[in-house]
Order: sequence, then C-alpha cells, then structure tokens
Amino acid sequence: MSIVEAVRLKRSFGDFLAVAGIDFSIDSGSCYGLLGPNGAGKTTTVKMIQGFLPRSSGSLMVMGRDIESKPAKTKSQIGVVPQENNLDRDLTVLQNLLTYARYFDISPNEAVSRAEELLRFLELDGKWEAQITALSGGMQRRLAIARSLINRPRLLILDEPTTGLDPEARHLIWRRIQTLKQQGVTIILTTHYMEEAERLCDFVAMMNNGTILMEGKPADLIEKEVGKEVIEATISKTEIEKFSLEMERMNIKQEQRGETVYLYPNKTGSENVLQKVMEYRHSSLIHRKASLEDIFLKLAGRKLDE
Amino acid sequence: MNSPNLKRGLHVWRRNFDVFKSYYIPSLTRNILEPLILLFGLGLGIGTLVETVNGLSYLEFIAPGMLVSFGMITATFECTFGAYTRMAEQKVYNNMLATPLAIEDIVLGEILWGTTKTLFSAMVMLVILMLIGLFKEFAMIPLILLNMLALGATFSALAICVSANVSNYESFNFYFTIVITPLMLFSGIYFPADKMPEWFENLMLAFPTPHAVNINHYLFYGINSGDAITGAIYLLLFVPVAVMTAGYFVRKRLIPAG
Repeated sequence: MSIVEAVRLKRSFGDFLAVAGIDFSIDSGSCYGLLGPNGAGKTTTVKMIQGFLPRSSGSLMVMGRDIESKPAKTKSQIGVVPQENNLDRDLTVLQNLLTYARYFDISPNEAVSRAEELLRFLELDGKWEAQITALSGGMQRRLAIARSLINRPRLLILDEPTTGLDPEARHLIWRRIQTLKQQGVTIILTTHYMEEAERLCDFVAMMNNGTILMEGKPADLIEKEVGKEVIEATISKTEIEKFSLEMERMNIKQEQRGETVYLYPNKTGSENVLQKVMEYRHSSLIHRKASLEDIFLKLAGRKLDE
Repeated sequence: MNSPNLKRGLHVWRRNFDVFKSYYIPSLTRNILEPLILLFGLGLGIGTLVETVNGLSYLEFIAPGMLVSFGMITATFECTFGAYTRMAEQKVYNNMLATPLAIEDIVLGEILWGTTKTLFSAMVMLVILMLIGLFKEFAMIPLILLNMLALGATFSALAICVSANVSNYESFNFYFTIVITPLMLFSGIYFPADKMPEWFENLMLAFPTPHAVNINHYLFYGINSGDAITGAIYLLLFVPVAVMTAGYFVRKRLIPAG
C-alpha cells in the first residue's frame, strides 16, 4: 500500500521550475530516499509532502488524502525534521517537546510520558532542563528528531538529518532511524550522503534539476548503472588520453574527472583492467565495490563539474 | 485563506505565555512604573500650567487616553519586535507549521497574546488610577476592558501586518515614527482633538486610536456618548478586517508564491 503518491507533481517559484512534474509512490513502512545535489528539488518535494508548500500542478496524495484538503488532519500523522534548525530557543529541551505535543492536541500527561521516552530514545536524558543554545549541534538534531516523533507519526520526513554532524552523532541517528523502520514508520529521507542512503533506504530516487533521473532499490540501481566494482585509476596527464583510448578498445565503461579515470569493468572482469593500469607509470589505483556515489557522480557529475 | 481555529490559536497563545512566565518581572515593572512616571511627570509638569480641560483636571483628562496610549504601545511592541523575532529570526512559525497548526491559527494566537498583554497593562493601570483616585466608575470596568481588548486586537493585528512586511528590526522605525507617534499625539489623549484644525481631526478619525480614546472618555466621565458609539462601531468593523489582513500578509511572507 502506498502512503505517498505523486503524479506529475510540479512546483515553480516564479520562472524557476524547482520540481518539474515528477511521479513517485512510497510504500507504507519503507524508507524512501530522495538523493541529489543541492538545488535538485528534494526539499521542495518534501515541503509539498508535509503540506507546507502548495503544489503548482499535478496531484499529491498523502495517506490517501489530497494533502491540500484537510491539511490539519493529515499533518497530525506526519513528523518532520527540517533542514533548518527551528527548535524553540525561548524554551528548554523538555518544554520544546511539551509545547510541540500541545500543537498536536496531546494531553499534558501523555505528553510528559512521551517526552521522557523520546529523550531516552535519543540519549538526551540528562538534558531536560537545558537551554537549546547550550546543546551541541548533534544534540540539537537529536532533539529535533525527538520532537518529530512526539505525535507517533506514521510518516516521518527527515530533510538532511545528519548534515554537518560528526561521525559518532551520525551513527547514533542512523541506528535510531533503523529502529523506527523496524517499528513500521514510513520514512522519507533526503540526503546528499550516498552512504547514508545505501544504509537506510529501501528505495531511492535520484533527483537533478527538479526531475527524477532514476528510481529503484539501491543495490539494483548500482548493479544496473555501474556494475559490481569500480576501479579509480590516477594516470599522469601525458598518458591519460592514451590510457582512455586503450580502455575504450577493451570495451570498458569509463568516466574521467581530472586526472582520475573511473572504470566500470562489469562483466569483462577487473583482472585485465588492473593489469593495464599497472603498466602505466605514475599511476595509482583504488579497487572497490561500486556504490550509489558512483551513480551520483555519473549522473550529476558532469553537471556539477561545470 | 482558511478561517482560524480558536483551540489551535490558544496553543500558540499558551506557548507565548509559557515563555513570558520566565520574564514577567521586567514586564510587570514596566507596566507599573511607566504609567506612574508619566502621570506624575505630566501631572506635576503640564498639570500645573493647565487649570482645567473641558471641566476636568489635566490628570483626569489624560487618564482615559493614557490607558489607550499604553495599551497601543504594549500590543505594538509585542507584535512587532516579539512576533518578528518568532517569525523571521527564530523560525518558530515554521516549526508550528509542521504540526496541525495553520498560518491563520498562528496569527490568531499571536493577536490573542498581544491583546492579553494589552489587557494586562490596562488592568495594572486601572488599579494605579484607582489608588490615586483618578478612576471611580468601577461599574464601567468590564466595558473599559472590552474597549482595550478591541484596541489590543487592532494594534496587534496591525503590528503583525508590519512585521510580515519588513526584513529587519530597523524598519520598524518607519511604523513607529510615521504611525504610532502621531497616533499618540493627535488622538485626543494629551489635548482635546478639537484643538486641531477640523480637517486634521477628521483625518485622525480614520485611525482606531481616537475612537478608543472617545470610548474611554465616555466610560470614565459619561461625556460625548455619540462619539463613543461611533467608536464602538468603528472598532467592531476594524478588528476582523485587521485580523484577516494580518493572516494574509503572514501567509504571503512564509509561503513563497508559485
């Protein structure tokens, strides 16, 4: 069953088309990743799903309802962790949660018990009375996640939840997102960290310039677009052209970025390629598993380079 | 545009009230000291130069209007600096909008809060006026508070319209200098409005403040009932329009046009 369904969804700001008529469907209980470079249209898309931005055209059903009809009812079942930090700095940590609970018409007693539970869940136990400004960036993000869960949402929207966090804070958030997935919460995650998407998402959509370039399970997409392995070969300037031609003759797909040639050996096997690279002087190479990042670079890389 | 929901508006009011609880002392200090300073300053200063105004001592004459002036300033401060900080600097409205609250609910809550502070300031001032013997019509207290409620809602809504249209704190100077200061001086608070040229007196009647002053003069001293009735009708019509307009401008600011 799909919990979000978009058909030819479009949103423009004046002349700028931020979301250019996209179709997608998000299954209940899945984690759906919206990936792509800054300005791809990810945030605009999630802001339409959360009922903040009205669409320009197309249709958008959230939990079986047009998001723009009876928004209060739909929004009561959505949790949002926005990209910008908008915790209420006039209130303490606990007050942030209790005040937010009130916006959802949650009774004070219920709010207190949920707040306690969520502060434990996000490892903020000792911080109840703390001022927001006294929290580290990672703690603030965790509090924003706790806040988004106060209404026990069926749909959780995480807009770049780990941007700017240190690895420890990031891993804690990843573990919590996994727990929420196990509890059956549908999650929409925007990120430009491909590792994050690969770990957490069941489905991903690659966005660029307001369109979805491709969509699928991360492993399938990688297999289809890149193959199993990638070889990054760094070749000296003088020889890079010759090397590239040689690879072309061997029928190896490649992508050149600066002095590095990304090679996708696929079925031909990597042995021959590795041997060839060794023949070049001043060369270095990395041989690794293919990842979503490779697709990202393949798709958006050329545009980003400009 | 959606119509606001009172219950959700009160959630916003409650949020502001909770924040206020942590700084009520400076607020209360202002509410008590400012009217005292003004009354004694004006009473001892100008009061000695003026014998009577329309049969009232100078302090008696200005007391009803000072209630209006002080209420107007209270609502204006709360919904310019206060509301602008929440809307633009702290992005509190954005966090509210990810919940069932709609923009109209938020604006309603802010106006209710600005109105509450106006009522609170009016009550403190009425007590002071009673204690120094300048106010004796106790039966009129509910109507005076109703007048202050309308005034508070009016100036809260107007201030939110301004807040939604500025991009920094400095820009409030335009509103304070061009609108609020003239309203304080030319609304019949410190001298009778009929001392001004007639066309100017009539022009001022386009604004809410002189009407609120006229109503208070009637409720304090039973004078000029006709002006008071006109004033009541004016405020009754003005408040809903101002509230709707505030909602319109906040929506326009927060939700980018397509």
